[in-house]
Amino acid sequence: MRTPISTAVAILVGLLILLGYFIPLEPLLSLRVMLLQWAVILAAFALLVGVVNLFRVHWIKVKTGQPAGFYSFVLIVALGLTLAIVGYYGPTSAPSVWIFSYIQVPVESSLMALLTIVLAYAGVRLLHRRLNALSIVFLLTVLVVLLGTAPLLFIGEAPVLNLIRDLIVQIPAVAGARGLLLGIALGAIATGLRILMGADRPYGG
Amino acid sequence: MADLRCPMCGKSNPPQSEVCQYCQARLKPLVAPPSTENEPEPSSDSEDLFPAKDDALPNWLDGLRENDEPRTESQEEQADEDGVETWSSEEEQRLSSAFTFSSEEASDTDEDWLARLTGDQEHQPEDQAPLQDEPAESSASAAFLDIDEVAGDESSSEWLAEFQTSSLGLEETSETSLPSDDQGEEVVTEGDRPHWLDLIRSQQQKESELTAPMSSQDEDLEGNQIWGDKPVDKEGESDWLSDIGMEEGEGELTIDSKDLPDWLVESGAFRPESPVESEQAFPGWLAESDLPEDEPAPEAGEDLPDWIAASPAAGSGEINKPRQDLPDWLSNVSEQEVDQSGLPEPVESGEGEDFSAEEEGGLPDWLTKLDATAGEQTPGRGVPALILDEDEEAFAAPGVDELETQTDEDISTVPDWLTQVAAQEDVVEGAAPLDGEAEPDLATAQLPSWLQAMRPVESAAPSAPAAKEKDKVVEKVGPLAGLAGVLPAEPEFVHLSKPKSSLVKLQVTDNQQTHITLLENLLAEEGQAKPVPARSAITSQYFLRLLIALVVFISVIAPLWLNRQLLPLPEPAGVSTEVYDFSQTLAGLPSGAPILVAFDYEPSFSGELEALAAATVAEAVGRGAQLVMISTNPTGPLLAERLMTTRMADVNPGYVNLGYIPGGAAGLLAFAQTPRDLNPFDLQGTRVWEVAPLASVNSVSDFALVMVLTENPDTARSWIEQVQPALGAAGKPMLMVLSAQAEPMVRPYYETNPKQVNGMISGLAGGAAFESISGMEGVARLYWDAFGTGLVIAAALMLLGGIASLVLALISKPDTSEGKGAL
Amino acid sequence: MNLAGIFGLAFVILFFGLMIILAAAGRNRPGRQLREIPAFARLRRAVGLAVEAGTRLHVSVGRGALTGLQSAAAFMGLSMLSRIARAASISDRPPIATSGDGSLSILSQDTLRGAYQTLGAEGQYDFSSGQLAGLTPFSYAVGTIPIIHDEQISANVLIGHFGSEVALINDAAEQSGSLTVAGTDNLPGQAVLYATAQEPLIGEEVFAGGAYLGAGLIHEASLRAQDLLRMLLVIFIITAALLRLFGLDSLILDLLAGFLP
Repeated sequence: MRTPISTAVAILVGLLILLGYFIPLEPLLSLRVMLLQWAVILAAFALLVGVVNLFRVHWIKVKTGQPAGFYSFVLIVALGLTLAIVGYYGPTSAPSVWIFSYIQVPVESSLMALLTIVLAYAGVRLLHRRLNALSIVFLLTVLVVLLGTAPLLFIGEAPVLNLIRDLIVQIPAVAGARGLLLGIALGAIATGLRILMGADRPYGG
Repeated sequence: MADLRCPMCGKSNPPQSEVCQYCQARLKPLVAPPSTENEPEPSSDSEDLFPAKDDALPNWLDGLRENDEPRTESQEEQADEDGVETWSSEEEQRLSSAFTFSSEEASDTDEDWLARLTGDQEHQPEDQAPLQDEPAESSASAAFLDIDEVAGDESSSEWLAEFQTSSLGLEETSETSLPSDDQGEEVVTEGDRPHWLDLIRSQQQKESELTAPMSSQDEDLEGNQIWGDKPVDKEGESDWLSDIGMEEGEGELTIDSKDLPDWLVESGAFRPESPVESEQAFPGWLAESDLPEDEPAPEAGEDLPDWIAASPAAGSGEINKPRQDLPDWLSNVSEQEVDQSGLPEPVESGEGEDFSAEEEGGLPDWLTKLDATAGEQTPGRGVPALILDEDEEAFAAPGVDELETQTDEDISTVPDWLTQVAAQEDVVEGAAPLDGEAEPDLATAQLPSWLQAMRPVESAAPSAPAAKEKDKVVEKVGPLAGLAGVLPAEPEFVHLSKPKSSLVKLQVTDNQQTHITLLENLLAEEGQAKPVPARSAITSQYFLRLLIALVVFISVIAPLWLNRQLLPLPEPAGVSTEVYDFSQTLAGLPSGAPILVAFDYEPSFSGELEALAAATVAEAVGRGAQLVMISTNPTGPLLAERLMTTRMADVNPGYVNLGYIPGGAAGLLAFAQTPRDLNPFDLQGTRVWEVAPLASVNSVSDFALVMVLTENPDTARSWIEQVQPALGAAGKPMLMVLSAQAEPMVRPYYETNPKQVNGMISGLAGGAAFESISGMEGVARLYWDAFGTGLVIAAALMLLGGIASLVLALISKPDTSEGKGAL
Repeated sequence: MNLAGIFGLAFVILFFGLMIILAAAGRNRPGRQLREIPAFARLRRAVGLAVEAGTRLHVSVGRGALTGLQSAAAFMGLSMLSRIARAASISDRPPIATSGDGSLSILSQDTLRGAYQTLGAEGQYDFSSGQLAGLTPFSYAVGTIPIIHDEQISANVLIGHFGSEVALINDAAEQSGSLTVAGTDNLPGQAVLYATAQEPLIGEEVFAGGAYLGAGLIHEASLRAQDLLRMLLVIFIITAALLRLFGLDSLILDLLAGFLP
């Protein structure tokens, strides 16, 4: 009984939202806004559920003594402390901002820096991993954009490189991005229609 | 041809059918072709009652058909060695017809199968197999069973008729030739007959000479006298049993103990040293029956063979009431037994014997001997199966008591009909006891080798009935359906006794135990996940990563550490148009106008976007704009707070932080329509829509400007698609502050006409350009040298790596490197 | 209702009709071959190898919120998670799913439970097999890396909304020696995937996973409908460009003036 009911609800709500977007009827618009607000509320609660799931997974890791359980313990302690401080002092209080400014932002920024190293390494190994014409074009494009973005050391601005970089970014990159976005949009529409038809049921298992 | 009767369901089937049309049981058994060596040729003179020589027939059955054919040693050996009974289709048909009922008979479940042997003259069994030789079964019960199986319906009557007319080893060849079957099978010749049967026959012959004339064996032999088909002459002319008597002139029959089965000898029923007495004419197998002492005789029509029922109870001396369905010869035999005073005393068969002499006239001598010998036996011993001769030493049969004391194993070898025979002894009335005075001087019969081979195992030799069969179980299914007193499919002894524990002890060798242990370990490991060996973390790629990281780190840290402006900022005249438009849009802001700033970037991109945000927000604040901050990212409000408390601390502008909009694009659309309802409070919980700068704002289009700070092109598109239509309708601009990676996706919105994005700044280069236009030195200027150096070094590394890969690829063998991965 | 709305609704209806028609036609003519995508071929092989070797499969459905544009890729990831879970449920180590969104973590758990229910092996389901790795992109990537290193992963399937942080996940997978089949609807992410993943899925290939893994006839039908409509869009764009080139776009716009917003 659960699967047919959930499928029926999903199809009905999806049709209402879709029709409400295309057909400017007042009842449909109101219903669409109401359903979207419900979805927003559910998404917020889903965030809380996700946090609980995160806590539970790491708690089991600590409890069962799995490898890297110490890091799970640190995560649990950090989660608890942050919840306590922000909940007590408020999200815009000094301690909360201090935690965010001096712990989270640096950590994530460092990860971003690490990403730079990883991407550089990936660029170095690109042709070794996948040697073909497209990879060579890819690598050359990367080099042109990199060198055309900022002035070169000891050289300064390179107008040719700047021009080529602008051309690449504004024409083939945009065109390729548009094409990819169109294809992704078609795939998204197909996925949505499959869910509206009930062929895909990611909600009911 | 006659229809084939199914042995399972009893229904008639066409003769050519292989399987039953109703129950799909096989009608014609699958039998291996038997050896045709040394098989005697069938007699052409006699009507073949047996089917054509079938290789599937047992040798003893084949041998019974042969007339006057000496049984060769090879035949005997083969018969002895035959351990498997095979039946021809006709045999099976006869058997099936013997044990299944027709539609008329099906309802009569109480009908005595043996009665049909005598009373049903319509049945013309095609063959009969008088007992000449038995398969090489170690137990005599097999012989009993064979006899039971054969002595079915009309088919059983055949063999008994054959038995009557055939030579049983006790007659000369000419006289003891067995009637052949309908198909012209030869009867068994003298050479093929067991010696003990010859002895019995000779005894009978003596009896016949001494007593009333009995049916001539010649007449019986020559005709297709099937026992039961033709009424037996009261005088016993066709009495097959008369054939069993001794030959004329034959003296005492000496039966060598070697010729008798061991069980007969050991049971004491047979005394090999003493002359065979007529009183002990019962063979042991007949006497060894679990005949209950007090069991009343079965009524006519029940599962007693008539010839047994008709014969007087040897032990009890009582004779049943005359049975109506007895053949005349048997009835006459009974009368003869009664009338003939000269008959030897009936053998003492004990209390369990169930012989009823309904008709005293015409009782064959051997039956009279049964009574006689039974009387001479020790009390409690069973009725001997055959009465050889009054002068012969009868096969002493164990008494009833002995039968009753049999173990369960012993009982398994005794057919039920024998037990009932013994039981009927108790209620036999009116039957004149046979002259059971056993002749004391009977020579010990010499058992033939084949009979000795049939001797049951000591432990399984029946000695006494295990239980009185008070309730005759009528078989319901199978070929024996409707018959009472047959061996059940699951004999009672199976339930009565438990197997010895020693019998079920499993002998496991060491090798087998090793295999068992191995298998157990394999099964136990099956449910356990095997650990996968971890790869080594220290590889050549690890050092390459370290090298690249070190080089990039040095290229970025060095300019910062040196703090020297090595790379100039972009010239204001050379900045891109989108940056210029951005600057111009900000410059056109009215003073004190509320602007909405969306901090929709991740903390990880704060290194890049904070530099841009600081410059743009500072410029907006410098134009007198009132900041209203919002975010569709949970961390956005905190990023806004961080920016205002760190980068803008010295300015300290007033701002309103509305916090977080959940729901992504849907939330944006809702906010664009009804911002007051979606975020009525700020982060501190203050109702800010009542006071400036939001007091005059009712929708997003009431803001003077919307500036979105994001690194995600999808977020930028969401703002453009959900919010910009309302702004565009009101002529309000939208500005974008983007990470360099999002520029290609947002540029089309800037280049469209009408513009959906009025200006945008992308990346640190755009921030540096904006700062150049604005004439300020912000974070972008601080990072510009490190940024430029890092880009060059990274490009150089990639270039070197690409060249190295190309060279290596050219040097090494051609290999499909595309998609080459760990697997 | 404006022209854009009409065209949009008509486009959706046309798409829906094409899917139905192609699904019905595909039932009558089964076995039509799709173009070869090496990533899915390697994925099928990797699933079999994982089952045989007793290693684990890691499926990540990304961090796309269900209320946004990224939900389509997230649903695609859930579909592939369902297919892979059914195929690899008999392995000694069942597959594990990670996500960067609260609602996605719930759906991934439900998908795994449903897959085991379908196989009648609900007892094998463990709630920890569907984890929320992190709430921000890089915290999600960092939370996924220990799973790749510690859970003896032999193959990683990353289908969903990923940003450039996916490079960290791919690097960890390469260090652990596991295969990576990745696809995202995010354009910067696709660029990163091309450079870092062993088998990247570019563009709408990420939405073709269902058809290549045998998720059903409707998946193949939708894939073919996408191809048809893409060609239609190409024709429309070229036509519009030519009209603009020859100055006829104003004529068209005037004809449609009454319907434009």
